[in-house]
Amino acid sequence: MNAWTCADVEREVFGHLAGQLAETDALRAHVHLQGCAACAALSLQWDQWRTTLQASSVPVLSPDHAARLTAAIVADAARADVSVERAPVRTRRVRAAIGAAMAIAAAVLIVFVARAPSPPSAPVLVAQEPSASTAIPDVLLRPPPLVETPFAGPALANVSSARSAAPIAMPPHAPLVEAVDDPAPPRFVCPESLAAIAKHGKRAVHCLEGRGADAYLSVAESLLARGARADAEVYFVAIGERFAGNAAADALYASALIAIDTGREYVARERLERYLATAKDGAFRADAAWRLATLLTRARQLQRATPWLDEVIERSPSSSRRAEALFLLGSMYDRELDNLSGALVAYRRAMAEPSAAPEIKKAAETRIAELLQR
Amino acid sequence: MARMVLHAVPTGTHTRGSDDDYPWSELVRASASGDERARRVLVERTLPMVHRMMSRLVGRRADHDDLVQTVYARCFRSLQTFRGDAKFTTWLGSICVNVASTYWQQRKNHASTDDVPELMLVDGKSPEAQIAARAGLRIVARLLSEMTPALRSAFVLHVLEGHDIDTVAAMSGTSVGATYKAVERARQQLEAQAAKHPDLARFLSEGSVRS
Ligand SMILES: [Zn+2]
Repeated sequence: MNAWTCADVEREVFGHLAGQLAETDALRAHVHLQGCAACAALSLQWDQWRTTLQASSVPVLSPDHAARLTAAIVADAARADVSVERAPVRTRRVRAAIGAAMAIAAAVLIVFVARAPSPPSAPVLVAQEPSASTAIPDVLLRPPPLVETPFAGPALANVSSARSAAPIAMPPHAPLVEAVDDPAPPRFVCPESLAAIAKHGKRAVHCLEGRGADAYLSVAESLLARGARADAEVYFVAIGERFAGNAAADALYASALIAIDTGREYVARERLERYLATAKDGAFRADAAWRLATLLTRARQLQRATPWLDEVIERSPSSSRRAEALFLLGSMYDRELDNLSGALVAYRRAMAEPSAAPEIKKAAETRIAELLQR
Repeated sequence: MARMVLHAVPTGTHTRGSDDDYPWSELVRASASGDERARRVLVERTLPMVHRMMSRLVGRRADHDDLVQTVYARCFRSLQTFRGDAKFTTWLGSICVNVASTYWQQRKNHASTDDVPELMLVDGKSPEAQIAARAGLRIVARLLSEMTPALRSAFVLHVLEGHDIDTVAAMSGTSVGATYKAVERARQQLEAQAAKHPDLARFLSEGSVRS
């Protein structure tokens, strides 16, 4: 058995103290310590120091605190379940923030106004005013159902049901100006804590220079929680500009939602297009495609809308959403593109969707009958 | 399959003992498949370790709970990639190290003079002893915060958490040799500080500091 040197003992002192050494090594250590006062002193000193350090660095975790933390973690994991597996950690937080953004976002209520007898015109998608007549149009295309999104939670469910009771409309004349660039120059000393930075709103976005995406997100989240959407938007845009990957893409999506919510359709479209161009397998792709398709349809850019409808049809996990997209596609073929066979196929597929809304099924059926009579 | 296993997990007012008896492998599998109860048990079982480890790795900070949550978010997201041949706690520890080092990376350009993490109050000591211990704790906390993340995590994991060198290397994603070196350098730094600050030396030896 090779005897241990002082260097060996120094190297293994903590393993020795913790009783982790293999039997032969433990014996070697023991033998060396017996005959070496310096190493024995070192070992004794670190035995004491280690005990002190260990004992004094145990944080207090009260049962209450542990229970709260556990509940938050488990809820978080459930929320993240629906999202893509290998998203980075920031994405999770962006998602949570987007959830908040959606919770407060006024949904675009798109009404398909069917005109009978139908002139060969494009489907008209209009924003329904809150005070609009309560008469239900024959076909109602719901906005993307928030409850089907990955962050469906009580808050979103509330928004969703509140919406069906009292639809929130998009202002008819949306300002097209991007309102988020050039935060005001610093007029204060940047505070250190994120909470304090959030208090300054978008003016403090420069204070996070050099920090990670999580810092931007934290501020955006607290601003959203406070209802300061325009301010939160600046931080989302900053994430999109300064960071890469899923986190950036998802932040872009969040900023698009806020743009929709604040009636800046053009900005929203541009951001959704960028999101779809960059997030090749983004968690919100199907949702973004649907939103973009409906915004483009509204802007009468039907040709541009069709590829996104195709994407919804291909990718959306929601059968009812696919039915809506198929119906909208059928309407375009039918009324705009004069492609009767394409329209028939789309309507039929809409009807075949297992979870198609009854009004969609009925409308598709009517259209098919009309087409077959021609 | 994994879900069925979880029917065995007691609901509501379960006792710690029965949860603790629950095998790790099943718990991990069921958690990966999305079983909420399994996840809860997994968190309950590991939270003290994660909470303490994060506290030792980055210090006690205002966003400490955020960091702990980040650890678990990452854990549940990649649970499917966890291979049973490693110990689960080692794997979870490696996530802690990762989250901590990301945190330090982000803080690097923003270190301020009062950015020294606070170490915790000592349990079971008189208020006087606790106050006395604070001076020593502050020095230790400062010293730890001044170490490079590699040194700090090696020291924390090996000396404070008591993991063997191989486990520390696995958690840190470094070689055993590099881990030995990091522990040694951290030890030497602490010894050098103790030589400079008698308060620290006394605190380390006695667990308290008389002013
Ligand atoms: Zn020796």
